[in-house]
Amino acid sequence: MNVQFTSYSWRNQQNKETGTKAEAHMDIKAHIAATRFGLGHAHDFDVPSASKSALLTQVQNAHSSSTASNAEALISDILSFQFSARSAAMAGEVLPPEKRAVFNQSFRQSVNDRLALSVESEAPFRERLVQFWSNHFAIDAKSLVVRALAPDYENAAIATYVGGRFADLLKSALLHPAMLIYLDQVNSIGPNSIAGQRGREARELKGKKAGLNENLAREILELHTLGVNGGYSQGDIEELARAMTGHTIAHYSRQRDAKEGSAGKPLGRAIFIPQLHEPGERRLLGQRYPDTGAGQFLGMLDALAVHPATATFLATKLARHFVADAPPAQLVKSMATAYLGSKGDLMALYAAMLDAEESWRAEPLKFKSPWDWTVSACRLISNRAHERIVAHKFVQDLGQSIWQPGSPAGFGDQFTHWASPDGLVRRVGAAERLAGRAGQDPLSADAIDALFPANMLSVQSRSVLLAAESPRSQWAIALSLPEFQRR
Amino acid sequence: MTVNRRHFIAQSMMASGLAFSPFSIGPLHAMNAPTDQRFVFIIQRGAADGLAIVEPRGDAALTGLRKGLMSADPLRLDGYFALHPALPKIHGLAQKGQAEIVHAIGTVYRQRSHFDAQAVLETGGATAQSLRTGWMNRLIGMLPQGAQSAMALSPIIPLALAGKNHVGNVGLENNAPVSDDLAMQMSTLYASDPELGPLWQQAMQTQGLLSTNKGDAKGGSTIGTAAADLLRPANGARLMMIETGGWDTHSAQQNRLTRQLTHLDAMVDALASSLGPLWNKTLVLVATEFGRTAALNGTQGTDHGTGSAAFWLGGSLGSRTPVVAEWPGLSANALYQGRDLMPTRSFERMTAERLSAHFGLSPVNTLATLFPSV
Repeated sequence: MNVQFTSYSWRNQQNKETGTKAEAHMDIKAHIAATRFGLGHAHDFDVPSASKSALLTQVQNAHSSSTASNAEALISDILSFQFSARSAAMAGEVLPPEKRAVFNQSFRQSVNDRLALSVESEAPFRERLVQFWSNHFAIDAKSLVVRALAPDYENAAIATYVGGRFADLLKSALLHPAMLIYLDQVNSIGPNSIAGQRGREARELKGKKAGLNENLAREILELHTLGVNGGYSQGDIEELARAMTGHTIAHYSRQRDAKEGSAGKPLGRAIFIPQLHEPGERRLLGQRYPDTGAGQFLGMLDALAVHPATATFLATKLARHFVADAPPAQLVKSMATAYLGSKGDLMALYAAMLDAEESWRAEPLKFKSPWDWTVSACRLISNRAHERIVAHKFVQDLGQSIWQPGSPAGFGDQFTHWASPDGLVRRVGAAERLAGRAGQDPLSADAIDALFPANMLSVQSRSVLLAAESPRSQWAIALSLPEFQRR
Repeated sequence: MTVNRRHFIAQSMMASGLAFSPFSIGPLHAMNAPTDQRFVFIIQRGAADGLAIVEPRGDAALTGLRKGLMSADPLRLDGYFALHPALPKIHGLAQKGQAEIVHAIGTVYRQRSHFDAQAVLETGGATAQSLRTGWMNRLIGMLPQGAQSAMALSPIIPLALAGKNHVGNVGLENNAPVSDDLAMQMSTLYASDPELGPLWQQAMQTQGLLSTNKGDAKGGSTIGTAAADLLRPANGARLMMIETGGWDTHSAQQNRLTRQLTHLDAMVDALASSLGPLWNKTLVLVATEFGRTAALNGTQGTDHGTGSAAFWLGGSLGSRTPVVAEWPGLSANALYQGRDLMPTRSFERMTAERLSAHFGLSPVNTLATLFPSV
């Protein structure tokens, strides 16, 4: 049997060294590290270490989930597919459905890969952070091209930077082709740029507006940095959008200057094309930015990254994600202060969260999202259960479509976003299906104690769990328990 | 039988004195609610083409704009407008005065993003970002105690119903039932959880009410029947939202729209007939976030536009005329930005007016509460 419920390395260690009270304390702390800051207990309950420094080390050392970007090849595949689909349509034909099915199959496989990574991860705090930031910089995989790029976006543009400066993460996310395409930056042209002047006459003939697109600029200020009440104006959005013109993808647009500016660059690479860039000095939040081409926008991002409103916004979101729907004001304040003091170092932000006592309160205040519940269930039952479900469909039926939150704001992160009558019933139904994958071993009393240490399991839950009529029904109950829905 | 056991679970909870109304969090003492009017909002996500659904056949410019899209045998409504042939049941309602179509209608939103436009349609705000709660949720708060039960026929609560007032939900698609034994055990275990207990109880009671088998509920008539099941009981839902998607017909519109409308027609027909006498106390709104371009595009479809058409349906509507519109016309200079049907009626004002009359609320308060942007 591959499920061992009797060896808890951290518990055995504690038994040797400390008395009962300390042990109970460590039980809870290790439990919180595994659940609130991790992805849930693994089936062997092997929690390497519960300390703050061990959690931070996960972020610094493990590079399990970050990969080099493959966006250029992906875009090339998609564009040639779209080209052949268009050619077929013009010839009155339809492409064989297998052609499109390849992309959908690849997307589904990527969600299963993400689940496998989460279930098997030995750096779960880091994976949580990758998934948090991926949702902070949300893209939506509704269109074929963003769908194809979404896994690359998370694994390359996000995962690589979660342990560094926020400014670097910000630039990496915004300049990945998935974001440039999703929020229409690839269509944005400075009205007074070379391309803008050339195109003006043609556009006026067609009754179209000049080519500045504010979508990404608006979301940068509202969702990625300052937050909706961060003290910016419509004028700031426009200035940011103007500075950003020129940042685009090579060979993506059919506009003449964009084509010329892409010469010699590989298809699909994020590049800066001066011919699209709006000339002139810009002002953002009262600060002047001379026209340095590509650097004008990057300089704005550096300033936005260390703005006090950004610090508070990021601290609030992170604390809300890990600690409580309504995080304590003092916690947010100390996190924001540490972040600003370090000039935008994400490790300082995480460290401040893990330093605060409020973060380690025994009472679990966070309701698991469908994804987090699925990961924690698969980690607990192990037995390769995660390989035997279609993760995308499984989690979607619970109310969450991975990489497809439907809006640049990403998935909500509070109880009301995920808890609904139907959502709860679906979760219990899913628990029952997963229980069928759990193998024949029942949960021992020791395993139950490890899963819910101290007084975290109600007397009633414990007795129903122990009285279950079969291992399968016991697993279904365990995954459905009120105590298993929160972290 | 699963259904019987579900009924048993629901009834045993009621008998145990822990009973809650299936649709609102609160004790079940309001069987005789002060209002028994029902309201159903069927949202059409993706921008439904009002000009194809309710064709202005009398407009001389129509043929020039969309010759390839016009119905060969539309259902005549009056001397000017005709209904898409895939809506025979709704046409039947119109002939009985039980349908009223408001044409050339739009919200305050004037750009062309689905997401932002749906946010405006559902929140009732001036922009996509200005309000965080939905107008249907705020409507719950205006109804008397005991009539505040709201329900979404979807696995997540849609934005129009989001807010501080409690809303139930049930998604009919892809939902394998929970075994009876586990359902019983979890009823016990969730009962003492103040957050999850009420959600679970409501879900069990909702399932007990559904006469249709879940899991195959893609058909319009199945959804309409399920909606009626949940609206019928004395303590049933008073407000309901039903999701429909797939209206974004950029290409091959003719076939896709026919499929969409067939689904909608079957849903409305099943809802009306399954409600029986309660159809006379029910008001249904069918509306979309914006319309589509007046002209056909290069791929036999239409692109994002502005004005569209909304439907009011109900047994006691007593509509004297099937279409209400201040028709702006489709000539080149009558179109919004030279391309879209110009909205001449306000979605917000129309909805506030209808709902205040239906529920006996102050028109001024209703408008101010539901649509403060107007």
